[in-house]
Amino acid sequence: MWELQGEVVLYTSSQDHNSEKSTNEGPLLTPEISKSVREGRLVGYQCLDCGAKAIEVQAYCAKCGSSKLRIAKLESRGKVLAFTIQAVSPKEFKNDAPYAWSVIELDGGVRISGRIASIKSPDNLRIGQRVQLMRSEKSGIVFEKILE
Amino acid sequence: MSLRKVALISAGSTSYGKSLLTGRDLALLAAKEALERIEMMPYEIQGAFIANAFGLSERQGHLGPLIMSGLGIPDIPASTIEAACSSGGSAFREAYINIAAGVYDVMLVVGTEKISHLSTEVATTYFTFGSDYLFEGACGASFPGLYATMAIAHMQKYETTQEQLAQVAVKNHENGMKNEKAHLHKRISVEDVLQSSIVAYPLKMYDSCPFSDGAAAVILASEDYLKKNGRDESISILGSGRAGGYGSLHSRDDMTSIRSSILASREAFNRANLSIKDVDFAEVHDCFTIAEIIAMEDLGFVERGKAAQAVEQGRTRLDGDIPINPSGGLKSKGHPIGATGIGQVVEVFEQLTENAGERQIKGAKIGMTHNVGATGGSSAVHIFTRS
Ligand SMILES: CC(C)(COP(=O)(O)OP(=O)(O)OC[C@H]1O[C@@H](n2cnc3c(N)ncnc32)[C@H](O)[C@@H]1OP(=O)(O)O)[C@@H](O)C(=O)NCCC(=O)NCCS
Ligand SMILES: [Zn+2]
Repeated sequence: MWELQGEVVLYTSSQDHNSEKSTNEGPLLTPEISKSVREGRLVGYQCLDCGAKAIEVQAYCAKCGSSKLRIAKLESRGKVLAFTIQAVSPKEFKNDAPYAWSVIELDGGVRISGRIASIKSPDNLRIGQRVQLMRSEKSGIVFEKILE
Repeated sequence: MSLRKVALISAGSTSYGKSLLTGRDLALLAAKEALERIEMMPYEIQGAFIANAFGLSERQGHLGPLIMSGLGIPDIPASTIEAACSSGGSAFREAYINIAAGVYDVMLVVGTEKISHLSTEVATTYFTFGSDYLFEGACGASFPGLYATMAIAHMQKYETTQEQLAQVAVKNHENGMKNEKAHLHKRISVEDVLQSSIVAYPLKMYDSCPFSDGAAAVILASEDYLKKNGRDESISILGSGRAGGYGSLHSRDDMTSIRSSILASREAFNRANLSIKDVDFAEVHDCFTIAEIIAMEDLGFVERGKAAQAVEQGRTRLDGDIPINPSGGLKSKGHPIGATGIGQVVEVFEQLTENAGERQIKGAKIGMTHNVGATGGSSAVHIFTRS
């Protein structure tokens, strides 16, 4: 069988030299997002013309087309909008399966997606569940349930 | 600019399933079948598009020249179109535009995919390369997982049930029994679907399309050319539509609908000057059972939230009033990614030329294809009629 070669580099720190920015002006690009996720926070873009906020790799505002974007801090808490419990996983996540992946609405309304840690069954997750971002060194965006 | 009329004059395909052949081999076989069917020599072809998504998993890019050389026409230009699962629909659209615009008179479109040399987990990984990888694939989402998330959203909003989703698979497997080129030939029950192994909750194995190898090819020509050369028009292309959408699920306001499908079908119907009510049958993108439900609602066959009921009532079966996926669909016929969108057109050709055998929809005059890229990052819709 043919094997997949290479590493997922998106969220590793080898790319940090690309993301050294002196201001938070300008388009939101991948290294900035990866770096923030690794540090346990979230950044998105905010449009200085219409105020739209989203987490996207973006050079022009998706709502109004403006190029006046700045990088803005996003909330790290939110709620689950929809989810799945994945049994068959991509290769890199083989040892974690089954696990939850979900689309989340952050407080303030920006939407994002990611895994929810430690959930193995649909009985342990519901739509509306409150979650918060976890620090994730390598494997992308991960949230955990907020126990209230 | 006024567009010229374009006809679909031939179609061919390999069987779908696991194959020892390469993507290039499969493409040649499908193209040869389409050429031989109308006794056309390859040198009549003036240009081609190849639909292929995962050729690099075979360590083969730039398939165009290899396929054209294999057909004995190395000088003919051929470029690969990649648009994930809608590579085929997109390549078809480009060929249509090239002929409609008067650049070429005769074009070949071949979709091909070879995936069975990959293990389940490696194939699953490759497919994630069609997602918004930064937010989805690299965070653990698989394609079944993305569609499962859409299914949960649909179940929440419209109270769609797993049993109703299962009915889609039962119907498509039933149709696939009548298609000798289908990947899966197995009659299944709702119970079988519900009992099958979970791939991504709430989707199970029988809610999912299989990993298929295969190729499909069609030949398009201008009506001017056909008249001049005394060839039959066979099928007319009445409308073509294509639209884009956000790549990631989280960017959409609504996960229970695919906006690019709505926009692409609107364009196709406007160009054809027809409405969904005129359509006698459709090949829609059912990579997962939920995808067929969403497609029925987006294309307007039924109102929002009413597709599952229509399936339960048997309305989408071969003998129903809106037959959907007579070929067996991606679910049972199979889903060789690059070939899929062309394979849908092949089925429309078989139906409209009354060559669909046991699965023939009697008297069908207008057929449509609907091909979605990934979770809706792009869609292509085409409408056809007998000449
Ligand atoms: C469901 C899935 C995980 C099963 O894959 P797998 O474990 O590699 O399956 P195998 O190849 O080992 O097949 C085992 C058996 O199940 C059958 N089978 C495999 N997938 C099937 C499916 N989706 N539906 C029905 N039967 C299936 C095979 O024919 C085989 O039957 P056999 O033993 O009688 O020959 C895989 O088909 C899948 O991930 N499908 C989704 C593909 C996808 O995401 N496509 C992109 C859509 S956008
Ligand atoms: Zn804006």
